Amino acid sequence: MTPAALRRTLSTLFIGGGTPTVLDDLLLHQILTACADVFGFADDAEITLESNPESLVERDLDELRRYGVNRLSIGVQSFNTEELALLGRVHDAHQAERAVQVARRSGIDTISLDMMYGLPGQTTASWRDSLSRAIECSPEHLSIYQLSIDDKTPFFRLHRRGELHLPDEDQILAMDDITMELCTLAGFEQYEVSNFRQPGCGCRHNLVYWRNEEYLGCGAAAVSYLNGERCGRIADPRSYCELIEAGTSPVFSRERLDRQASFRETVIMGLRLNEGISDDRLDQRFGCRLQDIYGAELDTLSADGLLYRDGVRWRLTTRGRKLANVVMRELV
Amino acid sequence: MMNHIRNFSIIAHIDHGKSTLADRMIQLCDLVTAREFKDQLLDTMDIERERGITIKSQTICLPYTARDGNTYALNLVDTPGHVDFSYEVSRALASCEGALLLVDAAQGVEAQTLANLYLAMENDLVVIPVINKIDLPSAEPERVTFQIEEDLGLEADLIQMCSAKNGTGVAEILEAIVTHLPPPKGSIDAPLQARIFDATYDSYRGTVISCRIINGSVKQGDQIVLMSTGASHRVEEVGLFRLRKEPCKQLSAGEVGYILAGIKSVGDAKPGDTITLRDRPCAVPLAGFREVLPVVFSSLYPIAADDYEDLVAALEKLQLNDAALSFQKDSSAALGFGFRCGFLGLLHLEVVQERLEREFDISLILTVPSVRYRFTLTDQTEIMVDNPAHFPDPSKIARTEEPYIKASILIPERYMGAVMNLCMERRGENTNYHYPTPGRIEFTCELPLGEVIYDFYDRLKSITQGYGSFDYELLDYRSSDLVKLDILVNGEVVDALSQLVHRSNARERGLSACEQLKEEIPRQMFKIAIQAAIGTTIIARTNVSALRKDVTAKCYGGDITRKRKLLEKQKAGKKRMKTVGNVEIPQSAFLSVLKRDAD
Ligand SMILES: Nc1nc2c(ncn2[C@@H]2O[C@H](COP(=O)(O)OP(=O)(O)OP(=O)(O)O)[C@@H](O)[C@H]2O)c(=O)[nH]1
Ligand SMILES: [Mg+2]
Repeated sequence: MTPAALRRTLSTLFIGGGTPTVLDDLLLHQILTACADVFGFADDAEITLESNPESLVERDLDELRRYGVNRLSIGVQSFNTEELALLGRVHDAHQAERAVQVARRSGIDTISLDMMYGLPGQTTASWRDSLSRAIECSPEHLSIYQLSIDDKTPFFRLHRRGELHLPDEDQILAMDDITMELCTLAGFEQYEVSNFRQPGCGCRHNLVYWRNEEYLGCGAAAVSYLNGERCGRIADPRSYCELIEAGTSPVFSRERLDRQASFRETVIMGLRLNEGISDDRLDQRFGCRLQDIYGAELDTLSADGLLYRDGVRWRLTTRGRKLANVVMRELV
Repeated sequence: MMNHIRNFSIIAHIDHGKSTLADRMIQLCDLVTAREFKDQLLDTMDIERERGITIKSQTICLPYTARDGNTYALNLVDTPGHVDFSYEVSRALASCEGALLLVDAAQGVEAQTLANLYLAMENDLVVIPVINKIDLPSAEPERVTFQIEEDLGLEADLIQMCSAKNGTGVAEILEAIVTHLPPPKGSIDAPLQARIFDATYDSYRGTVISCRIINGSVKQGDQIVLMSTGASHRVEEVGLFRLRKEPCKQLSAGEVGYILAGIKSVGDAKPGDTITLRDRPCAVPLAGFREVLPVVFSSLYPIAADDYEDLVAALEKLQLNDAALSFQKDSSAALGFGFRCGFLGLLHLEVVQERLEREFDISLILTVPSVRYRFTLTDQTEIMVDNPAHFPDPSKIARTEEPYIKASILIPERYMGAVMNLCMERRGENTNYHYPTPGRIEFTCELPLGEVIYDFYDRLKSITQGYGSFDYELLDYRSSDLVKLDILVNGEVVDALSQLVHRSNARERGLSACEQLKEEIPRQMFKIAIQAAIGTTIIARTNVSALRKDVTAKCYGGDITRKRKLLEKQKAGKKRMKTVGNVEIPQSAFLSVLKRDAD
């Protein structure tokens, strides 16, 4: 680790990627103490732990809270048992509800639920039901992801064979409407393509990514962005451990973008946020504004009703948020 | 001297292992170090290596010490197997005394096995049959031996068995070449008579002439004359084809080698032309090569209009190494300026497209391939049309004719019904068949060339599970009834998508073109109407629905680079699309309209 990185204090920490709650209390405690010793935490540091419902139930959450964990992100995905089985989750709807209640009672400040829609066999009615039950648990934060069929996943193979009955685009759009309706009614505000918060409860850690600011990553497959360089670590956990134990760097990919490419990246990441991107901020950071880099693209995208300008900010319109990739393909 | 030379080609159906056998021979003659070696060493072009096929014949001179203790110079020519490039085979054979005819031990005799054997016989060559791939578990050497005797009428006791893959039997083949193939004839003392069989362009050294010396000899400093033009040049270097060009003192009767003579343009050294000496010319030129005529035509347009000049330069350069390519200026309302090009077949067309894109970095659109039709107009003038854009006013057409071929298809008996059906779908006539050996059928059929240029071969392969093989020869022009099928995208005719089709097929082809385009044109933010029309009558229609959602759900710290690269790739892909009206049409869509649904 570079000395420069060591001089920074941590304002947010996110223990995630898989199921860190499989770590026992002692290990988690060691990680948190190590972070405190090496870097130190800011007074109001946000410390998130990612977890699955089944691993939460038998957990001593008070203990976690005492170590400093003040935000729990729970991978509920759905409150429909059939959908959960399809996703290969081991918990059922009932366990999911119990887990959230347990977490709620532990007194951890912020609870976020991960939910998924666009699942095989899902209907608008089942999505309405799942999301309502999530909201009834009164979390401060919701991450709501549309299922994406990536290459090499079992879903992808089924999909190619035409054996996956995914909701069609009309149904997806109807589910989006349900999401907006229920979230708004319950006082949630959308602040990123897939993220909703109660006032003041946005995930500060993830905002760093979307604002394309710097962060440090540790562990297999983790990525750092420090001093303008993005470093990826080897993904295989065993190899990662071997490299670390041998005293070798586990970093296997490095990327440093030139100023213009980095500007473009900042723009496309920033547009994911409802707050959009501020021309003033870009100017401070890169010494140029959107119009300096893009030409006719901005006019076309605005004319197509995908992008608009609001004072010093550029934002996606509601339509633009659904077609964000169309916009980003122009601006990348 | 000449007694220690053997000139031979390796000929076969596609993929029967010619280039692999050449590899083993090169290794047995110690011409290549282990470090330099790679599979199919003679397939040097990128596109050959990528597709695993030979496109151009390659010559190599192997020093071989035979069991009789003598060292022989074996001039081996590895030839392509695909039907589009059969002219390469006939040129190669013209400089040989013998040929190895390879037959895959599992596949047996196929259409190009026969076609290439006929070419060898036309050139009076001694043919050694070789059964290759005997290492395969599915190899049936006895059955193939029987086919070679029965189908091909060759003597069984000449047959060599080998596995080019693991080297079994290759040493015996080298011996057989020395003992069974005749040495070249000709006289070293006669005036120089050499036949050009290929010419390539080397940007440092100018034109490299590949030739076979029939009589006489040639060396550095000689003044040579190309007999078709009378142009004379001073020889800078002569040499042999080893792995690289290897200069030597002189080339003499019976030998194969190269000549560098400061010839600026490859066009000046025509394959088939005869080279002689200015100061002591031969009396008559050697017989030349039959001219190769293009049979498939398509227009090439650069996707970026400002690549036009580069395309001109690239085509001229490419033609230097590919004399079979012909082109002339063309223009399209939808696509701007481009070229109408003639090709020997669809594979040739694909090869040209790929070479232009790869070697010259130009992204291209190819329009629907067409054959050349003959129209007699009401005023009795006759015009040839290979471009749908030049389709005459239908009210002025007195008579329409299209080219026909005679297809010969070799298949196991069980596929007879399927193949017959395919030929009928493609307007086949005068079908005929016989059994060269029990269980196998040679099926012949007269077909309009226009019906086979696109996916006929692929369909044949698929309905015969890979067992069918196909060869054809051009027959004649026959009366036909054609209409021009136009495609409209959002109400605008895209001229580059028009095709000439037989009236009886028009509706079905229109429907299938619309369906194919629907698959190829990516959804855009508005609905796209696709229609097929004859004149002003719409005969088929479909829509590409509007894109209403396209957003990546998750993007966090570890995803940024990957997601950004994906977007960049898609952005680059968009540059390879042509915007017609306000619709972005990808490159692949232009050829897709000819595809028919494989039921
Ligand atoms: N098992 C086995 N495979 C072989 C043998 N000879 C060639 N092959 C394989 O057959 C395929 C085609 O071999 P090539 O040598 O490229 O065939 P070719 O006749 O030169 O093909 P074209 O030039 O395209 O006509 C390759 O995958 C070879 O590895 C053999 O003796 N045994
Ligand atoms: Mg080959």
